[in-house]
Amino acid sequence: MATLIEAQGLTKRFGATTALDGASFKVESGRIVGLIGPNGAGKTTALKAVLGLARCDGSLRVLGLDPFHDRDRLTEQVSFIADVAVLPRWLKVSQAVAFVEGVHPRFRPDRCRAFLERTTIKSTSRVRELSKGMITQLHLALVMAIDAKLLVLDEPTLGLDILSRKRFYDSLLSDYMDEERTILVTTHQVEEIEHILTDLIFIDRGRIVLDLPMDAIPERFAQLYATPDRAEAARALKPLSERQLLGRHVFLYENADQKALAALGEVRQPSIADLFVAKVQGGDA
Amino acid sequence: MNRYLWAVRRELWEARMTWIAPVALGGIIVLAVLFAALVTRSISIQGLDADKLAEIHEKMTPENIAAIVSVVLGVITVPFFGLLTLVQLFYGVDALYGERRDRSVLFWKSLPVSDATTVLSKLTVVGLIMPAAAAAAALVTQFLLIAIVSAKAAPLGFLHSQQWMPAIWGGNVVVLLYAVLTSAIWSLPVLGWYLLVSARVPRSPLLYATVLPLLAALAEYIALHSNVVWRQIIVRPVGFVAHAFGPSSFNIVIEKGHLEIPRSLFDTMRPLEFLSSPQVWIGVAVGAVFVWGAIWVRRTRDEAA
Repeated sequence: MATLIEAQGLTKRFGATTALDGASFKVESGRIVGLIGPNGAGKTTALKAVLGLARCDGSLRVLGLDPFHDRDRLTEQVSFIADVAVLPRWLKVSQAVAFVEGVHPRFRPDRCRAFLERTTIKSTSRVRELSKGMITQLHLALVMAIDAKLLVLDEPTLGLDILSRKRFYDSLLSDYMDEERTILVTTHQVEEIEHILTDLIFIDRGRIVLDLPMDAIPERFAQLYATPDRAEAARALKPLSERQLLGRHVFLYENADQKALAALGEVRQPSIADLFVAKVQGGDA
Repeated sequence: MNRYLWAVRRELWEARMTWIAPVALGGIIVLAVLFAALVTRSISIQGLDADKLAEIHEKMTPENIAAIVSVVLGVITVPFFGLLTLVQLFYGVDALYGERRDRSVLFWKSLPVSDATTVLSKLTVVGLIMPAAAAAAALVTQFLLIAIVSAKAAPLGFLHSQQWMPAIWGGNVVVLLYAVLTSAIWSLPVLGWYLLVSARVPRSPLLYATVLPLLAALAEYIALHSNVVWRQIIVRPVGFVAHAFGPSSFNIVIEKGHLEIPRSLFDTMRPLEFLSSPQVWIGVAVGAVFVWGAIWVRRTRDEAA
């Protein structure tokens, strides 16, 4: 498995604020990596660094290239959807397809047109005439027809209704993803991408606070639902967090003895949202 | 190269005023002249009636007529190049600002078209294609106006067919092409300035592009009591005519049968003087710095910050 992205001590400051504070992470090929963090945690800055849109301190290799310095070469192999608002409103659908076909050596127009035919988008329409959901589908159709090694999605479904969001991720999984491709995605709607991710990276105040494959979560983290009389014993096992829910105490543990936990109550696998709340202090996501 | 051509095509999709503005101007001029030709019954120039004019006309050699027609054709192009200056201003200050305002820059930057290619494609449109469109619209307008005037003048017995001499129109096309090229070279610092402002400023690029030079001129006057910047503000937008064409009387003076015939515009072209003028090359150098700056700013600015 090849390493697509390797970041070491990535740091970026804007005046007095620190957007990235020595963040280090790796992304292997064939993975779907969720980069999750509260607002202002440095997600977008990290993505911009990966895309070569912003210069950062520290070392960063994407597909073996320095993304800022070799951006022109990188853009042939990396696709990017910022959010739904970035397609220019004057652009016609047919022009968008023709332009990407003209400039992108890895674009396959037949695939793009086949995808568009399954939607209600007309090739003569201008972007301004399309709904937000349709614009996302158009953007996705363009990007999915590019044979890119890495696809970066920054809040790709922001402001979309739930149906459009579901359709977006369904298309991505069924029509795009295979073991050759890699997706790096940030979103606030953690629950919606939970089932498609293979890896999870939490970022908080410019630092990576958690980085692990999804299938490592059950053995590393456990959530205990205990009755109040067991709460003292549960606290003794040093939980990461504690909250109360419907008269029960809910504890989240990292690297705890799962048998010892089972003796105290019901043990479940925590969701990403549970982990997020426990690991990220600044959390307002 | 191919990406560059696609980038230029993309610009032309977006900036439809490139051809709409000159075509609209030509249409208005042709309609106005057509209307005037339909409603006027007699012709007089500087108080001379048709008979007197015919008499003068008899005395003129074909070369005289060719020269006059060529100057008339030249006069017709003036409003097109005037409008061009405005279209260039509005397009130039929006070229790299509009994509930031609607954030579509993030889409364009996700495609393998470099910042240099993008900026140079915009420079090509504003510096070459827009002047070429102005010249083409001027040429069609010249043709239609001469056709209207010929139809009107034929019954009066002058302008037989000299106005259609290939030499006039050949020379005219050369003059137009020459004007396109010299205006492109001459206006490079202005266009580069528009692009740089458009890439850099947070808002109101039109205001920045126009007010900053005025402030610079004012500051220069206060600090140094000189007016280098001010003279450039005056001379750069339209001054290429004075540098690209030699001094010549463009006036047609008709006094009591005496004629002062202008030289044909073709003869007033001064390519060598233009190309050896330090003003021209200093401008090109400054323009290149501005364009390079625009590329650099688009390359390095962080769109979200």
